[in-house]
Amino acid sequence: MTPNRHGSAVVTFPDDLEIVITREFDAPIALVFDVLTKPEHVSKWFAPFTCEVTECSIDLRVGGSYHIVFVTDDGTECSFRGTYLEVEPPTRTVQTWLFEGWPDAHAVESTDLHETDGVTKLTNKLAFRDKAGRAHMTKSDGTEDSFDKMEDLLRSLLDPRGTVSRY
Amino acid sequence: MGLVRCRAEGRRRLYSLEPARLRPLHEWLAKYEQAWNERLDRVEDYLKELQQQGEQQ
Repeated sequence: MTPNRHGSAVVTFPDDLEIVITREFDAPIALVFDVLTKPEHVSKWFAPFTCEVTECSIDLRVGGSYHIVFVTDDGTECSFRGTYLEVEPPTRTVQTWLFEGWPDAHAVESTDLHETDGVTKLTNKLAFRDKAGRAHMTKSDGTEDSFDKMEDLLRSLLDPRGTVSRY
Repeated sequence: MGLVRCRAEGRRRLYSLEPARLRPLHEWLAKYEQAWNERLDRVEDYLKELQQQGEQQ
């Protein structure tokens, strides 16, 4: 039995509009693909532990749509939907992505799988149509801090002339 | 925002970073990374469960 890889997902922000997550699994690519795309499997892992998946329909073909809903323990409904743009089992799907709580945050999500020696690597990329969309993903809970602001801070590190505070 | 501090010393300007200013970014990143980690850990556990079932059959 292989040890688990818990906590090994890597999140990166390659540019202003994208969020990329990578993670490896000790399982063959065909099984990982099924688990990521078949409703009877997706409903097992999609929602956090304290939430219940109440809807999980996936029509896995180009032009087909998916709709996944889970309800949090305080009764909030979280609904995700989109349409498949590319379906290439077992290596790749591309689909539009919309969280109904943020109707202006349109994104295209691509899911790529690659197997090497029995280990399947997942690369999941969310590419937002505009910066305002991605900012939704990057807001800290309950504060106005957004990743855009943080980005500006980081830029200011690279170019200290604009932000030097003298004392 | 004062990520960088500048101190004059004669004709020289000494710059230093204020790492505490980056804390909100670190905190947010940690939270986001954790949410994704938890989801993908569930995927892994579920994959293991399926594989074990497959071996038993």
